Amino acid sequence: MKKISIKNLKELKAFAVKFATTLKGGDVVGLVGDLGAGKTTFTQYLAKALGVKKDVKSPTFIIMQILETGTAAKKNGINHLCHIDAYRIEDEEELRLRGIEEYLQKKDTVALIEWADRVPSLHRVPGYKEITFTFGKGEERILRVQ
Amino acid sequence: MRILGIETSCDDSSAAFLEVRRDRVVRLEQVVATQAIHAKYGGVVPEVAAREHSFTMPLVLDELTKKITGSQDGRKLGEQVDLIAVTAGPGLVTSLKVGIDTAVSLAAAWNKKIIGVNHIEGHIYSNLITGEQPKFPALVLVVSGGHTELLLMRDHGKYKLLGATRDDAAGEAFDKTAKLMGLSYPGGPQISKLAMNGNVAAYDFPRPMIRDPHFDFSFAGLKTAVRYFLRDNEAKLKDEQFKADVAASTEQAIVDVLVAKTIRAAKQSKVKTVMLAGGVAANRKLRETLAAAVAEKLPGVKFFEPSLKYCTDNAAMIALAGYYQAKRRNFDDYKKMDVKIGWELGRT
Repeated sequence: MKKISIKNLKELKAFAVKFATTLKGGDVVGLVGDLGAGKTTFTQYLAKALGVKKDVKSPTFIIMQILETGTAAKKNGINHLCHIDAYRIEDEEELRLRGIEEYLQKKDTVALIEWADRVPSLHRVPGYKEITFTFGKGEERILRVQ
Repeated sequence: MRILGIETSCDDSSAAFLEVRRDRVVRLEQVVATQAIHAKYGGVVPEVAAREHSFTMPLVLDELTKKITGSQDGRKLGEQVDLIAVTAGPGLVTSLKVGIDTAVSLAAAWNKKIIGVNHIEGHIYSNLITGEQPKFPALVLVVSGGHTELLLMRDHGKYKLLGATRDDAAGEAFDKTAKLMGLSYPGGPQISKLAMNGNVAAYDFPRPMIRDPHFDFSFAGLKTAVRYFLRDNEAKLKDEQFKADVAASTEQAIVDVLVAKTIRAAKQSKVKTVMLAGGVAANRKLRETLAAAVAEKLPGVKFFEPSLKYCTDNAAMIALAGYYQAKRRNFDDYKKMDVKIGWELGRT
């Protein structure tokens, strides 16, 4: 596990850009952290790094949105970023019922799940990556990557 | 015209029967999936199943058939219907698909016209259920758990997106600050209730982008500001007056941004009508503040707000939006109907 201190938005952006280069199609990434910890902001930077043109809004209400990536990412086999928000998910079964499960481990798609701690079965996904966001002092955030 | 409306874009399955004569709704019957309906048909079902549209939609249609025909014979409902209007997007793919598949099957079996309606357009038309007509151009503020948008409406069906949230929706800002204060989901109505006993000027929370020249919104920063504030004042959360003051100040910050941008956009586009739509349109503070601001700052401009009953997702608004599209003969081919998960109204 890697522990990183993020002091400001600029550092969060730099981390997201670097993290994006490690991704490949089929990857599943979970984000864990409390309200305001920076999960959606991180996702916005990551999406931008993958060439997504649309504004990435919080999908809390809609639960899932599929974003088209840019040409560079597509050359690396990532055609879509599937942005999922499990904040309103009360039962893992809902992911299947709502048709979200099928977007996990899709060959040309990176799936990113906010509030991943609400979906414990994600830990059984091969190669599953998880980033945990906690609050430090002032605006600082501590990120743990595994 | 008699319309069957079907809406399944998010959590609730709903169906409505609408009879409209010369733009006036003369009959409206609506059924929304509730625990009561489930109990009636299949006993109490777990929350998860209640949210599964493929399970609830047939029950909702059965109930509507009974209301309209006095029987359980679906063919009799078909005899009463001229048009089927169904939400085609935006929303969750699986949820939308259940609604569309249902509508397509019925259109084929009954040999009826079909129209795929944009969910946001449905919210806009919830304003016209009373029969009152807007003067165009109109400006619409759409605010819900998933949307915060300013749309210029030049005529029926003609939209231009002026601005939208870049992160959290206004409804989400209500729900998440409520959660930070320890209130349960959905927190919006609870914040408003608490706020009634609070001082709106107690704390000066940020009004993100309020003075920016564009019409986009951002509420994520407000949420984080409230979070920092509560972290620094944790002990006070036991005090009911403190909580009421935080709720009132938060609500005021959200309402201030929404109203300021709406008024400015209305002036810039020289509109004749301002309309409020979406789930957060039920917020009393927002209704009162926006109505007062329109009256004071936009002389001669009409203000529309949907009745509280039709603020949340419902099939009646979808049916009415379908009616106005049918007037323009804007029908869809049932063989080619598809889900439009990211359908944005007025994006050019």
